[in-house]
Amino acid sequence: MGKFLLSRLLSLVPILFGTSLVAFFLIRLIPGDPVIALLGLEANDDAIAALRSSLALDRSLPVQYLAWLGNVLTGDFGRSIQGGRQVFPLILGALGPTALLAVAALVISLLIAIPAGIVAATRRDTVADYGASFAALCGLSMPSFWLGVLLILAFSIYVPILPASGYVSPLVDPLRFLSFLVLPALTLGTALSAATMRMTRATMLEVLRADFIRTARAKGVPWRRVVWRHAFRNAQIPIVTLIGIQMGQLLGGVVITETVFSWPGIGKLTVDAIFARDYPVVQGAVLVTAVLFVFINLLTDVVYTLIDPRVGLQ
Amino acid sequence: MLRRTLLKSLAASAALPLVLRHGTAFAAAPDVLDVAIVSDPVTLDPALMASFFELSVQYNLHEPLLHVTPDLAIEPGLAELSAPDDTTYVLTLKDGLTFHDGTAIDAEAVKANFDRMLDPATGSPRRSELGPIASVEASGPLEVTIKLSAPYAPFAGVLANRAGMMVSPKAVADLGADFATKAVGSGPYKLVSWNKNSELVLEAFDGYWRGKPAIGRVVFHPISDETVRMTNLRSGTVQLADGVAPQLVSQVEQASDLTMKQRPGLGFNAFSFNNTRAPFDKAAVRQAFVTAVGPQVIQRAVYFGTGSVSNGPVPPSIAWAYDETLDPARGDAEKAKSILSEAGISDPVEVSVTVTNSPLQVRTAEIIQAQAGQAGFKVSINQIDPTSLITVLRQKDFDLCMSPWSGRSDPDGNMFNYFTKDGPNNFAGYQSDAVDGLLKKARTTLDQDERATLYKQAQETIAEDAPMLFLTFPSTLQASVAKLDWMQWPDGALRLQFAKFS
Repeated sequence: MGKFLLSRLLSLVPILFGTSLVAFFLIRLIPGDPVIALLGLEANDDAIAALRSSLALDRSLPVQYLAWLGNVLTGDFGRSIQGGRQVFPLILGALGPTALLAVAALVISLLIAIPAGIVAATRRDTVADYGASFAALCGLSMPSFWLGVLLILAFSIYVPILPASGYVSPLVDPLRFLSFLVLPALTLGTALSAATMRMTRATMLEVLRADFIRTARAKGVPWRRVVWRHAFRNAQIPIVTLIGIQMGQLLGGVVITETVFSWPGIGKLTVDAIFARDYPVVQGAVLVTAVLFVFINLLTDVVYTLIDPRVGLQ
Repeated sequence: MLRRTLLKSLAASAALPLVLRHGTAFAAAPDVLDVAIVSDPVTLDPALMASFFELSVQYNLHEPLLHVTPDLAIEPGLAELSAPDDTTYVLTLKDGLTFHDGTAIDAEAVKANFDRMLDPATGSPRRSELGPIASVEASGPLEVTIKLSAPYAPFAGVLANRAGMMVSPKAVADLGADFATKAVGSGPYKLVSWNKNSELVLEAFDGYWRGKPAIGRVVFHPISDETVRMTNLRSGTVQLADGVAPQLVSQVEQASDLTMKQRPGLGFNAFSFNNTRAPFDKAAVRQAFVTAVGPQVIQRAVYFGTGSVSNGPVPPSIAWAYDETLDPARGDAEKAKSILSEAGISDPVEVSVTVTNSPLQVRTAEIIQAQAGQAGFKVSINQIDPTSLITVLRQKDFDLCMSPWSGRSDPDGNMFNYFTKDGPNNFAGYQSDAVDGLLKKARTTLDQDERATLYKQAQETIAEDAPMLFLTFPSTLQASVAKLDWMQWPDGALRLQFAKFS
């Protein structure tokens, strides 16, 4: 286990180096100029030149890259071109809301998907199965900006029990935080649950056909127990894999949901930074997201061993 | 264990709506005003601000030296302005005023602000707005004397705008790069906190020169989507919203609990022709295009009847310099064709029109495409992202490209940079000796009637030469809950010291 963790941590080094190169040069390949983006129509040659030199954007690309990399290694991610905030606190500040939303959305999706998937699998080709599959199809095909606006209309305007959009830190006002969280978490959770439900149904069907299920049934184990203890436990590995992927994507940011609900997350921060060619923020956000992805993959592997003792970590 | 926790949290979430219905979870206290704005400010530093959507936040944090009324009259603000001669201005500051941090607003502080904006190393867009300043001296404890190297008529208007916003020099020195996020000014409200993309909280300033504002706390929420801004207003999550989309105006007007306000703005929606390359290097081709495109259709179909049709750069809100006699034929395909044939052009003229990828701009481009198509132009649409727009314009990498302007209260601000030969916004590459001379003369002429004549002459020459395709003068569109009493300015900046809940 220790050796496994160490090798995974070591693999971070080449991954992050590669990511830093890609993040640095890719954003510079997009046409557009951060200084002109900042100054907009007020840009004149003097102001452009002054800002470019104060931001060190007039130096050669390799020099800029090495300077940036050196600073990052010492923990300094630089300052945002747009507004001059420190990049690292800016990213951490956006990561918090995103993580809270991601966890809430996952919880909601699992609460919907697991029971629905199991019911669909155990009552195959019944009304329950068709109903769950139809709902999943709706969930998969409904764009989140549309569902989000529908939910706002329903719960903020027609039955005004929740705020339309916004965010407050749970440390400041936990109750208000929850009131802001409900709608975006529902929007995201519904979309996620569709895929998880389909996956649960498919793997459960496969496991339920296995020999050991027949044996358990023959021994007289109650059906409920067969489903939950025997079948579902064995169906969990693909589901956990899917959840791991979903979590990684959620932590990378969910731009549309964040935009509809004015949720100050990492997705909106990154996309805004890309549009404004705010190089230091884009580079920092990409790096941090890459690290998170690696850790979530690691966590997924560890969870495998907990679910299935036959899986070992080498 | 897990099951019990889950049950507990389920029970808690079931109770949540009840709590909210009876609590004050999202209904603002009467002393708090929540405002939906179009985008988060980039910087709170008025010397460096560049985005039009930042103006509202700026005007609440920072007080300009002079005040402009909604009718564009200039009044004293932090200071009174007098002009002993054509090139000397004297600012006399009100006694006993301080910035939010307690630093005195005295002649030294004002001089420090001017020095900072004028220092090329600051890279401030204010530097060019301030005009030909030769020297700034603190001529008394509360008196600042500014000498110009030539008369500069827009000067008072400039001091009532971005360049007149004074910040605490002590805070600039102490905060360094953090000043952009923690700005200290002298406006009606001072900064409490600013969470990027979430909320910017301001609190009434006791020492504000007009007296403490009626509303104690203002929270700005950046909400980029226009529909979401309106749902927030309708649900009462915010009580005031900037940037109402034109297609939503009639809806808001019909809601009895909302107030819709619209007022002619200062800017223009226009496109620049590339005067430096074929086919738009020929005046006849530009004139034919302008004649072919009917702005009435665009005003109706894209702006839903808001704003007004434009034939030049000065909007009717700047009444004294607006030229109401400009009334060329527009939307006339036959006349456009005859202009082309008189110039000896019979083949279809192929041009591309460049717009940003917003639905509103694309719709505008499609109408232009259809109308010009009827007059013998073959128009293709080129969509770019908003950040590339300025680069494309500056590099003149276009045939016809959108170049909208937010506008200024003085006509100089709408014309000088666009139509003088080396003006920074002369994306068209327009080189007219006549217009260049008129605009330079108007800038150094102090008599308003004389200036009006000069600007009208310039507008007429511009209409003949057609370096740009003018479409509409947009209106400022803002809405609030009915119980909020507030004033609207043509520039769209919300000055909330004049707002109160009724």
